Amino acid sequence: MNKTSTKLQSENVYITYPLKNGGEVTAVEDFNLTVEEGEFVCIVGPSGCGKSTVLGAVAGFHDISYGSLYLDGKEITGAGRDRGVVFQDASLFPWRTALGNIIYGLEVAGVPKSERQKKGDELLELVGLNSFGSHYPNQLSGGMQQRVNVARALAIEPSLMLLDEPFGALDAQTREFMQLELLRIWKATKQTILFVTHDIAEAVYLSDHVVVMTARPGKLLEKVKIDLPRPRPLEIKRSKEFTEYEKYIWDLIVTEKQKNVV
Amino acid sequence: MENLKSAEQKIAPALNNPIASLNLKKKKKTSFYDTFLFRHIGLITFITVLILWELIYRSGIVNPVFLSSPVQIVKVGYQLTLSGVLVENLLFTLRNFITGFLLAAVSGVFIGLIMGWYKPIGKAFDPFLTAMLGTPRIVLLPLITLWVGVGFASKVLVVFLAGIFPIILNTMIGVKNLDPNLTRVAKAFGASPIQTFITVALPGAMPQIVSGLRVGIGQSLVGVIAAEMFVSTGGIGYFVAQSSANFNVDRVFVGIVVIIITGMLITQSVKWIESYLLKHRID
Ligand SMILES: Nc1ncnc2c1ncn2[C@@H]1O[C@H](COP(=O)(O)OP(=O)(O)OP(=O)(O)O)[C@@H](O)[C@H]1O
Ligand SMILES: [Mg+2]
Repeated sequence: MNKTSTKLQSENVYITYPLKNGGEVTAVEDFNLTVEEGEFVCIVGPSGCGKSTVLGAVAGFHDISYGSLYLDGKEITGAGRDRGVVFQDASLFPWRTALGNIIYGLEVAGVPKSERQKKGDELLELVGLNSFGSHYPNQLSGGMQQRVNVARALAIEPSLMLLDEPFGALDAQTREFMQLELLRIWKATKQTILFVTHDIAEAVYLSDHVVVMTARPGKLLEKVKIDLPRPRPLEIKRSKEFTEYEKYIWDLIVTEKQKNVV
Repeated sequence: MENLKSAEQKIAPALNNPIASLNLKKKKKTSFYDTFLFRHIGLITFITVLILWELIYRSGIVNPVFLSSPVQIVKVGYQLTLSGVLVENLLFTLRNFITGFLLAAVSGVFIGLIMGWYKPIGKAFDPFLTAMLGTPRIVLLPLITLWVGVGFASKVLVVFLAGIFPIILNTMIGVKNLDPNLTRVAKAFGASPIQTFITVALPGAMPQIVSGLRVGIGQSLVGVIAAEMFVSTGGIGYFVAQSSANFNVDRVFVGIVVIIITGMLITQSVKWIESYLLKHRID
């Protein structure tokens, strides 16, 4: 791939957290990753390995202590509207309707009202919530809430979408359905997506590349290319190739976990 | 997704039904809690007390200089309404009250938001707030009359001071306890500090703001009545105090009843405002 199509580049990134006792803990160490434009990349790894930390740094929520992060060739220095973030849960504004939540980013950006409304309706349609625009979050199911969350991030037409375990709180069935939906939306919007998950099957199903991280301090252990054809029906999860990918990644993580215990 | 949800809804009653109908059969025996008596027990008690009161009054056990009766209250209240005395005093009181409380609400919310949002400011004024909240603000009345006299301004000021501190305190707590997830969302979408303040802090603190208003309105009402009793030439508090001084016990009771009803109406209107401001909470 040529250089111009690189969306995100992480070079020797270190991230530390300050500790109460004055010291600090290294959460992420020497993290190198390249995400190409239009790719769907998932990050998996043992719990506490620094997945959210990496995503938060890309989102600009916290500083990195060494190395550099580039988005579209420009160094990331803080949060911004060129990245759309979908949080795990409880991040919708409870006092705004579904539509009101979706257009939040546009409102803050000063987009005129009529345009906001139009864009909001389009997005409700895209995420399959046409008739739920005036519902408040507590009137929506968990899956619907996450659709609103995705739509809110898409509304600002970000250059890169960041999702941190967006389906973690959903039941297994809804979760699978949302994966299917996310792939549909991804295809329709041609977004680049960086997605964090615990769920190996979810990662394999969604990704072009699965990034496996080591236990803390998190490093990139392996970037696994997923060579499964698209579009991917849910049945593909029962295919031999799929389960082989799953097992391969599972073994990587288990070996990592054991290393940590010893 | 919609399909999934509606399917769930269709299945749910069918699943629950057998159990629900079983429960109904078991509980069919009419208990005390299903009777007419229980459902209206509040009203029945109220009427019983009124009747007892009337009987005691009529029996002559209590000197009528000290006690009025329900029938007397209605009678005298009716006359006073016709003559316009009640309405005039009530309007006088409401004017003081509404002016003072609106000022307290607006400035209280504003100050509370600032104190909650900018922690150093909140901390700086905290001792002042604590002192004021622990004191019945009516003790300031002599000072107020010294400064601004006994006119309109003095009552407005008392109402204002009585109401503002609980509003400040509750608003401040509401802002301090904002969900950090939501402020992070604002940050992620590139909201400026002012935008975050307006789109997250204000609506996020709204439940607390409303409960502050509820406490504040009660205290303001106490403030206006007390001020009128001590320093005034009009108002419902003045009317009660005046009637008491003249040993007109019926008028005293009428005044008290009017104050009670006003208080109840105000509380009710706060509930309406509350359900309007917090409409997302009602499912
Ligand atoms: N604010 C913080 N202060 C101090 N240490 C932190 C903080 N946030 C995270 N950490 C530490 O950094 C490491 C990485 O955390 P992170 O949340 O990125 O892990 P994760 O891979 O997302 O975990 P999970 O899979 O459980 O969500 C953890 O060991 C955690 O204890
Ligand atoms: Mg995490």
